[in-house]
Amino acid sequence: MRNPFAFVGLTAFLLASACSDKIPAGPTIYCSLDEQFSRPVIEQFGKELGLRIQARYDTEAAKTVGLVSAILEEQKHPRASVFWNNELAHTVRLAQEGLLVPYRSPSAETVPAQFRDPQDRWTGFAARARVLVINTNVLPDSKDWPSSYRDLADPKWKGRCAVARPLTGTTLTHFTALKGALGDSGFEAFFAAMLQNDVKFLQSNGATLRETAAGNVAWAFTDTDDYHVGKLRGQPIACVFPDQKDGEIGTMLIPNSVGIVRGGPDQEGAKKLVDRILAMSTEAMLAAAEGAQIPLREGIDGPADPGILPIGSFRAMAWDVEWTAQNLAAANQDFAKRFGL
Amino acid sequence: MAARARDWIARAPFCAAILFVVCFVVAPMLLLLWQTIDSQDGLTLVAWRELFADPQDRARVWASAQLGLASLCVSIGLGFTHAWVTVGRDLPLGRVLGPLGIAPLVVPPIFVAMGFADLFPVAGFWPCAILLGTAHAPFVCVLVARGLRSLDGRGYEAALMLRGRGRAELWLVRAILPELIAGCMLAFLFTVADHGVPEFLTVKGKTWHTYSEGVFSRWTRRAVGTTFADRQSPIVAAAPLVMALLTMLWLALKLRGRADERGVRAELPLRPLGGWRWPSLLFPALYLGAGVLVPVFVLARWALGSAQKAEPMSLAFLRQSFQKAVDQGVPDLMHSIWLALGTAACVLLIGLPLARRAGRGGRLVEALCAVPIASPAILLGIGLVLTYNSGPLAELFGYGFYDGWGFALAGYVARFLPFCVLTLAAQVRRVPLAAEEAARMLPRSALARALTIHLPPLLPAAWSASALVFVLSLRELDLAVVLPAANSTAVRRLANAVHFQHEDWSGVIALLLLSIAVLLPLLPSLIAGRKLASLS
Amino acid sequence: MNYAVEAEGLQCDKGSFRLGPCSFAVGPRARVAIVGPSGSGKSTLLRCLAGLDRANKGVIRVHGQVVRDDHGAMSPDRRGLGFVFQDGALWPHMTASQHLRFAAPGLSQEQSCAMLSRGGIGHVADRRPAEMSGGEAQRLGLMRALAAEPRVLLLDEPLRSVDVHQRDALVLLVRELADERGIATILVTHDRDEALALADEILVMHGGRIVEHGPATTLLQSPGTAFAAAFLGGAACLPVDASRDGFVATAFGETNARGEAKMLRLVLMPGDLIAVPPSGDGPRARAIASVPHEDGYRIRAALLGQIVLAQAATCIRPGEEVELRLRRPLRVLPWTTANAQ
Repeated sequence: MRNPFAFVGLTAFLLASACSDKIPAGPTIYCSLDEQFSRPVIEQFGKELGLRIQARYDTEAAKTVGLVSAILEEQKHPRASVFWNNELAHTVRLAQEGLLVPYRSPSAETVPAQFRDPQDRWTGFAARARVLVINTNVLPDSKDWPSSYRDLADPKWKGRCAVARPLTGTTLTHFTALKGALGDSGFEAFFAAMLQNDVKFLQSNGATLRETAAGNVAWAFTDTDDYHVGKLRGQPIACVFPDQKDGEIGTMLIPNSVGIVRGGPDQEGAKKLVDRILAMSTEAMLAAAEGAQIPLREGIDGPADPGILPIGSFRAMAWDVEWTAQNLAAANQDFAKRFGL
Repeated sequence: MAARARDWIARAPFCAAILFVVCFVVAPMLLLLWQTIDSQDGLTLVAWRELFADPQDRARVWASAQLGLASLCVSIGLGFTHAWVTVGRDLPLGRVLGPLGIAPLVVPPIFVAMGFADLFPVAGFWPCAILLGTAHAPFVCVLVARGLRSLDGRGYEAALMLRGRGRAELWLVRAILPELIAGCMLAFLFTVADHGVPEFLTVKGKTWHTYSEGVFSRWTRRAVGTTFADRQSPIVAAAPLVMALLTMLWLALKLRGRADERGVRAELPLRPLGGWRWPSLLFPALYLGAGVLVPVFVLARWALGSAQKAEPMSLAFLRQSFQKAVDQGVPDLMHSIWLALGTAACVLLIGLPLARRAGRGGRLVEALCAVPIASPAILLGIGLVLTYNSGPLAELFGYGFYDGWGFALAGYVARFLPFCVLTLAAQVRRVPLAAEEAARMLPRSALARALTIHLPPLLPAAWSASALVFVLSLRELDLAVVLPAANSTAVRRLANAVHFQHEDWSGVIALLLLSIAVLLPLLPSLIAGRKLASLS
Repeated sequence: MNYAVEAEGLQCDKGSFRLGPCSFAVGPRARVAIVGPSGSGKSTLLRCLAGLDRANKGVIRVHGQVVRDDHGAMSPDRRGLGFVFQDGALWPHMTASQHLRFAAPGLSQEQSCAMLSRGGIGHVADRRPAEMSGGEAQRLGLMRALAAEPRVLLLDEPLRSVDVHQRDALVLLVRELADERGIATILVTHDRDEALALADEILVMHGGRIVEHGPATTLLQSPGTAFAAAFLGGAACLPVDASRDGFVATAFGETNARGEAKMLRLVLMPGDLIAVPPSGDGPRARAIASVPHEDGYRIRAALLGQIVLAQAATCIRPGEEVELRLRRPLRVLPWTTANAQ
């Protein structure tokens, strides 16, 4: 720094180079799947398709809501071409707001109809299930294990079970759908019973898993991907697909979803990218990865972990996607208020 | 005409810097304010009417105030004692431990939280206060040390002659009160504005929330809000916080400014610790242990595989972690380094003309530049996003600007400009005006004067400011979450990775980040053989 | 006549202080001292000439060229003026020869050394200001100002931080160098001896205005104001009372004088008074000190709250009463000019 000319020159160069960004040539993807997994996948897709893909990943602190907010904020000048959401409800909400364009991907033909938008604005693939994760040291006998979402309100588990706060991500979708399924009064009663039962409402699904693995609670509600990561780390945990008995509502399945953002850059590239994301090989990759996502299509090998059941082998909860999406914002406000945020 | 043109050329750097402040500090803040009253149905105060209507809002304000005060006690306990026993004392290793007072500033508060959370349950109020107090103790420590170094030692000796050692020490405390209070205010200010650590502790089971958490949480839901008031609530809710912080900052700067006016006449004499000589080592041990060693220890454990229950910690695992870190985090780390280097360089380029004006009586410039410290980073980030996402400035800069590194860089520079301007303005005040006037009398160009006369006396302070900004940029989380291009920085990636239980490689990346934060600013000092104390 | 510096109606506001309006002219090779007590505006006047302080009104010409008028002001570096500051105002990071080479970029190392030698500081060529004495620093300040070959040299209390023993040498140096270059010098000082040593022409200031301007000898011998007499000649100025039209009463009798009595002073120059043991009607004073002087003693005595000097034939002990007699006719002058220029 002895020579001030060098200093000024360096600074000017840095400033100029930093400000010389141009609008990217290829499509831009907003992706809420865990970056550790999704980044190499997207980079690989870019190479395969010969596209220069710009990617913006989920921030755990804001979760999917952060990217959804960004798409909503940016709607006058969309920056995203493709939205890859690791859950469904917010994608549907964007579709309802008219921010996604219809596109029937050839790769989506084999996706079961219940996981596709009738207007082709979004397509679901590779799902996670909302499961109960059990600490096997605390509850070694499987006969003692909980089996239903209702166990959150069972006095037997008072202060010994946990669930993430339903403010973002899959838990928000789950609780909003549950509200739809139980009706306002039924849900209110259930929520009050949970509070009465000293259920630990934690910040995230990851946190519920950690608390369970540490033995601070006996069990918790979480997603299959969190369970699988814990299992791989050798944590003393097991997984239960809840509500499988006759008359019970079944296990909630939340697929990833992808859609093309209206007016985003490189719409043609975006279509190619969506085709590639919806390819069966992607589902296979997601099933084999640490997140152990459950393929929605037949003919794809599911996760190796026997605890994670393949589709069709368990009772899936029937939830109204459109209703859930419509009521997501209001439910979010409501839950936030309940948790003092 | 020629004279007027020359005048303009001479003023160009200042005008450009002011333009930057207007575009990246004033405009975003004004836009935020404007949006709170400009609804689709015309002007309304509905969002403001709901301010504090909710008892939970009041509870959060109260929680923030309590947390701020409690963590301040911790900051004083750690920071003050460290400076007190290392400056002008006969503490063993005092010459090394003293300059290390600034070291905990390098460690992002989130790392401190992650470190403690790995070893202790940290969900309660006091653990939270201890974490934040530890993370912000360097503000107290550095300013108290500065106060002790800048005092006229003869005053202490006079007190010693008149009233004895005990009273003289009390005199000393009173004499450095401006610095102590300024340090306390900065520590308090950063604690109440921090949302990252409280949010992280919520993951660990904390059930109460601070005011900043509320602002951030509302922001994440802002775009999906159902009413105008919902959508504007994060900004409205933050306004009282900004006002409170601005007031405190103003007081802190005033106090620090008063301390700046004190000229050095004689160094403080060595004050023997007597029987406390060895036991006093406990204070630096606590300060540096909590602020640096615990986080580093935990990160090292993570890298060795402590989070993996399936297998014991091993060097083989460390190799694996390192490999994963190279695959996963090195691009983010490089982004962080470039962004921090760019910020440190640009902040000087923009800060120098502003600091020169601020240092020569431009109090308004100084106040304007200080605004970003008073505003929580998340709020500045929101303002920047809204300003450059769409609207006239977005059109002016081009819509590609919003996604690009230029935008992230501008945001970081705006955020950290106060640190540079305030540091340099203090140095400008120390340079006699007559020396600059002497240069003005000579037939040399404004550029020659700037480079030969004005800049060199500021270089040591510029280097310190730049190093500080580099470190702060490396550890910045809030802006990294909000600004699109800054999303791919190492700290944001780390915060995510820990959520997703990737402690192994994130431990390695965090250690690399810390090493860079320490080594890069130190490198020129080490090469030039400059005293380490100059950085503090 | 072509003047080195001309000021017409120069006015400058600095907070509550107002300089001027001032008008004066300095000849091409003149040596002028601006004198006055602290706060009289002499430094401000010099700084306005230099362009370091911004004048509100008035015209400044340097060698006939307008450097400031109501349409604009030339920047200080283009006025052709050299400025020597109070304490040198050196640049702490530069060596002595670097100082000169910054002032005159065309100077070679040898030339700068030669110039420093001419200033009597050749030995400090490679030293920084911190390694110089006060006298050396001030010499360097002078040589720096001269290196740019100014048409007029402005000196702002240049001897203030210089050791008493080095002052004479520096005074001689300034005179020599100014003569060598044939340039005018304008010195600001509050020290009468310094002014008389360096200047042939005196400009007396009081309250922001010029009260007198003329050759030093004239002002010393017959000052036009009591203030100039007091400041330059060390005169005691006693208040007078109005008695009848055109006459005022003093401690030494009545005399005719123009103007309001409250604006007039009885001027008693050193040597005007003789102290004798009390015997007649003359005013009485109490002796404070007595020192041998020429053939007798010089007495300091308190008269009407002021200290006056008087000559005595014998030693008078402090505390003794003496009678004062005037050796010259009564001189009553206005304190300052009623309409200072």
